[in-house]
Amino acid sequence: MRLLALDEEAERLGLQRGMTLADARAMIPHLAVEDIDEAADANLLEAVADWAERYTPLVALDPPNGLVLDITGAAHLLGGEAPLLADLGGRLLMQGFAVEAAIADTPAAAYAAARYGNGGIVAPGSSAGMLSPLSLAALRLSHDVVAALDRVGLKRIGQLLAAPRAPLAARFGRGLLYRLDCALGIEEEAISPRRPVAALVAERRFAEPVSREEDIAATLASLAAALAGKLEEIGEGARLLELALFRVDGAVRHIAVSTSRPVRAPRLVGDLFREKFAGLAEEIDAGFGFDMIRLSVLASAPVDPAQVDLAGDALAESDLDALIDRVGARLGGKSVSRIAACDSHIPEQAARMIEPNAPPARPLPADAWHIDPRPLRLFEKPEPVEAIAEVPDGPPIGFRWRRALYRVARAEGPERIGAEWWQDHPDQFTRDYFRVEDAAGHRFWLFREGLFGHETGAPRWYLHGVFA
Amino acid sequence: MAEKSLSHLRRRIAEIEGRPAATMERQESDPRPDPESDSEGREASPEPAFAAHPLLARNGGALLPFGIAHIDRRLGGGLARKALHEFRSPQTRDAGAVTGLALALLARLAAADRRPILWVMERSAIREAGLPYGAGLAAFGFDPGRLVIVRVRKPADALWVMEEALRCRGLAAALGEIRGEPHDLDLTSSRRLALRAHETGVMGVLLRQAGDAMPGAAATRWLVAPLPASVTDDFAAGIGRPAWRLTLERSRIGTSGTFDVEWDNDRRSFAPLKRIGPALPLSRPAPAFDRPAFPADAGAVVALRRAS
Repeated sequence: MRLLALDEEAERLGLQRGMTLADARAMIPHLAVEDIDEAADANLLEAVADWAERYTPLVALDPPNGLVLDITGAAHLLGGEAPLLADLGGRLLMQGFAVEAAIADTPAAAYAAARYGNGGIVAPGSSAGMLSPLSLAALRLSHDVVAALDRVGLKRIGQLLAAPRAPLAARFGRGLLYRLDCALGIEEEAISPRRPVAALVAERRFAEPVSREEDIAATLASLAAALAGKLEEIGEGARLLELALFRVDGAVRHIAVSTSRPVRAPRLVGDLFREKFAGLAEEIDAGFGFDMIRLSVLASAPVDPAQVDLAGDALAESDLDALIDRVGARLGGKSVSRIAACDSHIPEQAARMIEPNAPPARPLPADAWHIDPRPLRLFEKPEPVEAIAEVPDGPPIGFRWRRALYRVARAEGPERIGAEWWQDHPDQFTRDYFRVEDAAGHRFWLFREGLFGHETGAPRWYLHGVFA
Repeated sequence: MAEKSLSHLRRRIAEIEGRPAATMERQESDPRPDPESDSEGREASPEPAFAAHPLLARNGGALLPFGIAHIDRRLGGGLARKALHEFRSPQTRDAGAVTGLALALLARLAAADRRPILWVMERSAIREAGLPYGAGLAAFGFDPGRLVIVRVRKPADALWVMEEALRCRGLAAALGEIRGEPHDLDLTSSRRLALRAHETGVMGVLLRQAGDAMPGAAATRWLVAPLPASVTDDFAAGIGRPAWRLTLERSRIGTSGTFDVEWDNDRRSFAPLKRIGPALPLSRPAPAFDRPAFPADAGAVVALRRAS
């Protein structure tokens, strides 16, 4: 076992990363060690990344313990780069993290400055000067390459910069120069932000944290009003909205609602979030309050001008859409559906549930539905029954369903429905469907699975649906 | 003079309570035997006077008639659309029948009202009786494209969705399916539903699967049981149109009754079920004489909660 991470105290005592535990214990017998929990570390890093979105939407993870923030165009919101760096460092320190942070022209230069240099702000264009005294490991080269460079006496980045490029590329490969160029800004290096950047964002920071529900609702209303203006300018409405609540202690809660039609009316947005809050499985823990609230439009769509029309029908339609959205926000988007016909002769595949406002995948004719006798309600899975039939391929004369015995008074059938043989499902059997009525008048849809003597020796019976 | 103002007051109260005033007046002023106690066969009897009452005439569009004279007469012209109606079946196996009756009524409503119909179903109701099936609805005479289906976990959620739906004027009706007798479905919640339906005119239908009679604010409460279907004309051994025995257990205007009806899915109309002779013999073996072909029916069958 080896030491992978050390706290300040351990470092001061002379322990090093990579030491075996036995050596470390020999030095300091009462050393406290914990097993590493990489999943928890990754979660923590994600949480810190969530928190870091207060500075910029472009936050990328640099596992296991780094974050890359693209603050282009975002620094002025906090009064410049220096105040931003001070704010970030100070807040993380208060949360109990040890932070090394740097701002530089390129992600690679910032990485080197933060991890191997002195951190702070590297003035634009001075990356080469900052990098020169640093060891080659700051370029994120592989161990082999660093060792090979070390053997030829290249230990500092400055030495690489001074060396002729062609022999370096020939001897150590293109990767080395690529890393060097990335750090100097000659090559573009993209960071991969964790989440897509919202099209529109409205946010509010508070000097004093807010925690009352009414305050959050009022803030939400004003943010929604701000967004409504922006959406109106571009002629669009929001389809997916996300509310981010930044708690003082660094925890961030994201709450998203989607809508069936583009919306921009602040009242509707407020309603949707109110239902969402009411339907949340776990309460929002305000803790010591939220110091920043952000509302972002993650997806938008053009608003159909006809919808704004005040004619009765359009209004009724939008009324229903608002209801569907409210229900979806509270109970989950999948709870609302419509029935659509599908092109299949297998009964359970002939109809399926679609999103309420989804356009039909393929326009189906008006008489898309079979006119054969079909039950009013179909079980999600056919329920096995014990049926007695007079002859192996005849209608049932009685069956036991859910422990109750039914005597068949009349039966219609069979309607033979073959398996989809062209789809190569060897386990699918032909079904013989019977519509049966018992003595009391209950009407059921039963089927026998498997052709006796051809497909199976012991056909099984199922109850698939109930008729009116 | 006093009588006149009393009658005026009664009418006003009836209007507030949303029930036809005439029944009350007629019961007090008309000493003739109640036409409601007539046998069901006397359908040709003249319509009672209250059918032409101005209040009913004004609400003429707000009634959903069965289309069978002797049933509509007891309802004062039909089911009020601005109200909550409850349909229940005592056992899970009757779920198909009670669903059928409610959908038959809504199919009649849908023919006159182009707005969609919302159906909120509780998860346990789906597990026990299945999901609505598009092809079956279409064959039944109900356009599945008009349905908005909401599936929820708990009865409380179903009641919430139903109340929201009854507030939404974009809907023709809201159908709420609840299984059993959850404690969330109490007098207060059903009164809320009834009030919402009365405010917006969205018809509320409470479908109670395997539910006992409970106090509620529904304008009518029906017990629905299946009946053997009549014989079709063209196929003697086949199963004809769906038939039910409806028991009007409770109504705001104080009427009750039992009716046997069948549903004509092609014409989207109800018809009184004609008593027919014994079903034609089927090609089934005669019961064995020396042993029971079937064990005797057990006692009351109750649905047991599943283990999983």
